[in-house]
Amino acid sequence: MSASYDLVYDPNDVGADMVVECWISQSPHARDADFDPQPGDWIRAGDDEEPPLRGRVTRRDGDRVWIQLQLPRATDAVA
Amino acid sequence: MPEPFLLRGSHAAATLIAARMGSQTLADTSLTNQCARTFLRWGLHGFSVFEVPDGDWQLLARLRPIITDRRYVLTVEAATLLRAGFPLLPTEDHPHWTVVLSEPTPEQFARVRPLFDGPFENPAWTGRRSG
Repeated sequence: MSASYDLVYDPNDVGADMVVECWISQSPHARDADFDPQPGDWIRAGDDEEPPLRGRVTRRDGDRVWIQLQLPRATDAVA
Repeated sequence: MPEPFLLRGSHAAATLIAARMGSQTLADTSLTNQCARTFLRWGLHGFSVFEVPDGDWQLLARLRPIITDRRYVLTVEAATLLRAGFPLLPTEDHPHWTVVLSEPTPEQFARVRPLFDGPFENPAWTGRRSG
C-alpha cells in the first residue's frame, strides 16, 4: 500500500457532506502504534487510483476514523 | 452492536442505473474491506453504489461531489443485479444504494463482479491530474 497517504478511503462511501469512514486497520498505518489521528487533525486519504485528498478528522472511535475530504479547487488542476 | 438502518421508500426500478466509482473497487480486497465496514455498521454484507438519477451524471455530481474527482466508473442495471439474486437496498440518502451479498467471499465477489460494465471514463469527472 502506498505511503503517500495516511488512510485508505472508498469513494463509494463518501457522503454528500464529503465525510467518509476509514479504518486504520485497512490503511498504511495499520501496524503503526504512533499513528493516532484525532478530531481536527489534517490527514491525507487515498485509494491508489486517484491522487490523495486532504481531509480533516471529524470523529474517532478506536479503529474507525471519520474524515471530511476536501476536493481540490478548480485552479489546482493541472492541464 | 450494529446500528439500525432505515430504508428509503424507493423501489429499484428495473431501468435504474447504478454506478460504482473506481476501476478497482470491485476487486476482492476492496469488496472485502467494504463488506467488513458494512457488516460492523448494519449487520449485513454489502457494498455501496449510486443511482444515476434519470441518467443525469451532472445531477449525480451535485448530489455526491466526490464523483467529480473519480476518473473511472463501473455501471450496472438494477434489473441485472436483481435477476442474479443480489438485493439492492435504498440505504442512507438518495442516491445511495447497497448491493447485498450473502457472504463476503471471493466466490460471491466473482459472481457479482461480471455483472458490472466498465470501467469507463466518468462523464462527471473534472479531470484532476496527479500533483
